[in-house]
Amino acid sequence: MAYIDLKDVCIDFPIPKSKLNVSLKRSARHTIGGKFKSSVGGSYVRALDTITLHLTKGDRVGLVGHNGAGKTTLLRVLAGVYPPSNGKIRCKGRIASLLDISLGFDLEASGYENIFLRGLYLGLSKKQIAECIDKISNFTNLGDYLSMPIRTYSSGMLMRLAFAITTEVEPDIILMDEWISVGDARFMEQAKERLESFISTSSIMGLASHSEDLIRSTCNKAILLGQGEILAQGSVEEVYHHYNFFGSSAFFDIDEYISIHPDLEASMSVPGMAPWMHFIRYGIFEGRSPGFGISLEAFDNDPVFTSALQSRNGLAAAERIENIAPFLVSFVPPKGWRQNKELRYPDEFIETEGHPLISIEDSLAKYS
Amino acid sequence: MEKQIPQIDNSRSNFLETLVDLRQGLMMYHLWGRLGWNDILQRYRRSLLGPLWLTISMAVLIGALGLLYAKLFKVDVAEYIPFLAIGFVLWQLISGILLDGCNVFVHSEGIIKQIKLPLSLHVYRVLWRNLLTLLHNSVVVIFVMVYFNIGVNLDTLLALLGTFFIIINGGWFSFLIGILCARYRDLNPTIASLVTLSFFLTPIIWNPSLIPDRAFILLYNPFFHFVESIRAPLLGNPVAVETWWVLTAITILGWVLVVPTVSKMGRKLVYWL
Repeated sequence: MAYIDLKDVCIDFPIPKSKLNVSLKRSARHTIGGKFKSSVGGSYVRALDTITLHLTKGDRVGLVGHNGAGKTTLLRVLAGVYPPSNGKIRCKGRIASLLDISLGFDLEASGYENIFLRGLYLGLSKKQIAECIDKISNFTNLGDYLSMPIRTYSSGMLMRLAFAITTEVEPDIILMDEWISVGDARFMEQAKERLESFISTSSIMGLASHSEDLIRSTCNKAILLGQGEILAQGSVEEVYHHYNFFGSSAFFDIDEYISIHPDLEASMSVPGMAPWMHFIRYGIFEGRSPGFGISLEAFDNDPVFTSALQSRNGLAAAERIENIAPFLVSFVPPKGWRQNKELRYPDEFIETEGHPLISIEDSLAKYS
Repeated sequence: MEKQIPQIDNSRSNFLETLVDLRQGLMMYHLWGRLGWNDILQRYRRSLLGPLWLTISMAVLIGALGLLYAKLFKVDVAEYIPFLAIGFVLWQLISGILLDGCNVFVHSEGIIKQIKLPLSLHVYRVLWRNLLTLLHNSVVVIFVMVYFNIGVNLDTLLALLGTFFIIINGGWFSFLIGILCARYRDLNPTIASLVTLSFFLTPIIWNPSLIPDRAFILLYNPFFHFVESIRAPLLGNPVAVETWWVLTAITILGWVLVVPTVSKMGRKLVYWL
């Protein structure tokens, strides 16, 4: 039975000394707390930080996160390409990775020849490839094009070819990076069908994508990555809740946060660091206001918020702010913000002096 | 499929990992065989003659240089051209391996970063590509030997042993230098200029008999021994015993030193690409 087991896996990319901007490094160390590290051997960027992960049969995991969060790096670790600098990786099963469509394709050779070549890359014998070449060519729907050099193909056609071969291998583990973006609607239907049948017989899928629809429709689990760490994992619903709330909700505005805290500007230029992430990991504990008139003092007496702070749970604390904010007098709604109709009045909230709450009727009236 | 299920487990020792890598790479001969051949085809895609160009350009070069230098050195053409043809073809094999070895991993970056394959696979690919080039070029050698009526006997087979030595040493060299060149990008041009220099220091164009016996420049030049182990039997000359000793020593020493080194650095390779 296939499984993937990562324990405290770290991935460090060495950076040549001369290439590391000194001021960037200083500010990064100051505010992020050690993503750039230096040792006697030189400086490096920690692309994945103590990732612990266990995947077994039937897991279809969507990797979520903004650019530079570590999605592709994690996929490559799972594919066995990056040996971890620290930690243990154990993995059993035949892996097929579709990280790069054009892997091993010879543009001058025909489609048929490339089916052969890619099959060899994936570890099939010539005989096995010859046996399934008909099935593959049927699935691609490319017909006579398969006898043409693939430099004449469109990227969508290449995608069909690559996808057909990779899934025909019957891997136990399939890893994909933004694969479907070039396929047309009909192909996507076909591809989904194929994936479903193959997931039901075999095992694990890892998919990194920025398309929420795609992840919601193909995955049953998700992992939210940021700054090389797992920020949240669980059901797709849960993970997207976190991601949307902090990642792209109007409530948290990147420019607003930075304009209130200009000292953070330098650290935001670090790849993979987003202001919302800074806020839940450091800002909340440093008493930084997220903007929009919200002052963290207002939560000083709130047991839910203070206990979240004590347990160093930035996400829970931020969620509390999200639920309370619409009732705070001082709250200034950001552009495009809409009141959640199902929001309930927080009876258990203990007000702090100078930050009174308004009633639920007033709140609904104010933001309708 | 009753095939053994592949596993990744990074708690295995690095040394063992390298040996497994070498074996697994060898087993994938379908793939590197294909890739090596593709490399040659690709160079001549859409040309009419294809890889035959290898043979043709070598023939033209040897014909022209042979006639010119035979005049310059004032030696018999019938003696000089076979000497030059064999030496030149062998040098192309040696320098081809030395130069391709530098790029063995750098040029395969796209593959190495996408899919887990044995590292040695890329080494086998380079060796195979150069062996195929040698086969194309050896047509010229055979033609020259027949034309100038050079006799063949059992000792000629020793040339195969010499070729084997070049290939097997190319293996450890490419593996090591490929990794080092990925880490230190200045190494590649260094090697390239050293290879050019070695061409003139090694008796390819000039005859070793021009230099007093056992001269430093010959005895301590490994390339001389590699070339001589093949050229001498083909020309019907005896191979010095020390040549075989040197080749054996280089082979054993090379592999014994390289396997532990590669075990140490191989894991980091992908981060250097």
